[in-house]
Amino acid sequence: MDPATTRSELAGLVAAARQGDHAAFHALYRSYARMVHAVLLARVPYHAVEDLVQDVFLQAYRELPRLRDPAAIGGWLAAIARNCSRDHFRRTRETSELTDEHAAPGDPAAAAEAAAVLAIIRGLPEAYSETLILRLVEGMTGSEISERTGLSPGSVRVNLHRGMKLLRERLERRDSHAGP
Amino acid sequence: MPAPEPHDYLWEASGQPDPEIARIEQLLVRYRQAAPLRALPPLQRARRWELLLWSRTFRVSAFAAAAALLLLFVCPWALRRVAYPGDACDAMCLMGKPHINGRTLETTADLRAGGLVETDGASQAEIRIGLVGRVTLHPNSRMRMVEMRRGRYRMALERGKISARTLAPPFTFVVDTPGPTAYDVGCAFTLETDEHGSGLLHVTSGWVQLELDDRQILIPAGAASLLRPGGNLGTPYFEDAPESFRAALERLDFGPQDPASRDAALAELLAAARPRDVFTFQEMLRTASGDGRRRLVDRGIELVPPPSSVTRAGLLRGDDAMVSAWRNQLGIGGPKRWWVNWRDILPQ
Repeated sequence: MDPATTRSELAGLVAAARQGDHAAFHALYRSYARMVHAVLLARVPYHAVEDLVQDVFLQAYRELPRLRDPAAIGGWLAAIARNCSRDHFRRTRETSELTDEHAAPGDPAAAAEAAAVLAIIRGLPEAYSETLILRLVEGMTGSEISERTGLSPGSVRVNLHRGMKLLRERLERRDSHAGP
Repeated sequence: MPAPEPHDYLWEASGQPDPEIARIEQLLVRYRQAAPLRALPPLQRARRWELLLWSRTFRVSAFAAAAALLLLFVCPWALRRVAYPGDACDAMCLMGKPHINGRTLETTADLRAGGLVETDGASQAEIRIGLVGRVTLHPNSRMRMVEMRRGRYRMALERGKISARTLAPPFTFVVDTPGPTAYDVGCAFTLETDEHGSGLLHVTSGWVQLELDDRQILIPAGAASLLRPGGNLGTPYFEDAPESFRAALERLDFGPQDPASRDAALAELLAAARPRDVFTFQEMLRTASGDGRRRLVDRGIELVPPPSSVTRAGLLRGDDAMVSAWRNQLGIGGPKRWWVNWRDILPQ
């Protein structure tokens, strides 16, 4: 990972990318791809996420001149990602979680369990589901989530803990319904 | 010392793991983003225009240009629409029961070209011409709107008295009387006349031009001019002039015209004059000749010495530049600064 941490570095990367510097734009991609991926994964089927991530960054590449404040790139990319997910649903009928199950690689039983957990996370309120996916899927720390999304550390901490509490409750409820 | 923060695996994603969180992480890691960015298209030339289009400078400039266009074209147009009425203005009853076109004016009514407003001894009316003029018609007056179009409002005061306050370019308002015609030069004035043309023009702000046949006189604020039947225009004078000065002037303008009477009246006028009354002398010099002209110039020079560039001989022969330079010494100013009299339009 090559995160653009400081405001001046970020501004430099955005300015260079605006001038067509592919290396600078790749650096921005490395910094923000996981965040965009998580925003999309919270909304669209897994098999469509990777293509949509590429679409989001392609759109961002074209529209980068419109970004006034380089420091706001995280929120701006997240907004593009949310719009892309809406467009995706307009274009295609929503696929079932079964598709995700098949799409996820690895051991079939574990993949099925992963798809089920992901479905439960997606069912949480949006603020919790996005933050939990950033943490549990993308492996970002609370600080990284705050930095990439533009949310305050306090908000991220609240979203993580409340979201996790809800997730635990729903997993327990599911397990108790499934029986021994 | 504050106690150290307890370890929070959910926040830090490192250190001693929470077993359930670690289990979920392990399950979900298969969904983690891993793909690199695909090839980007080359930068298109048009993007440089986009850069300009979306730059802050461009947007601020575009906004400023739009605002300037609005100010330059739309606002004056809108102001003109509001300020200058088209083919009708408002006639309002101020007191009693004035009449408009033979009917009682209860509150307000439209007054158009050809319309007639009359007041009796107990009534008073006001004519509002957009934002640029207000004319009060005093008791026992009769006024007809002769012409009404944007940029020219012409009324005929057949008898009675009006007070006018205007804020408009010179010669927008014109008032005909049975005698001379008064042209507003951006001002406030009162004008009264009877059916035969006898009356008084009194200017309170700015200037008014009185015109009759080929004679034109400009009357500044604080001055007045008598109107007499038969198309006689009185020489303008400042109203604060001594009574003897005003009486002598009236005799010169309208009294017996035999040489002895005129000579006596002129002597009285010259003796009573103050420096400010040289304005009246200068108006008289337009028509005076012979000995009277010499006496006016000599007394005028005595009261208000002209600048060094002006000679007595030049004034006697009526040199326009010298007369004008001498007039400037009076500090009356010129009639073209009508816009400084904008307060005249405010209700008083």
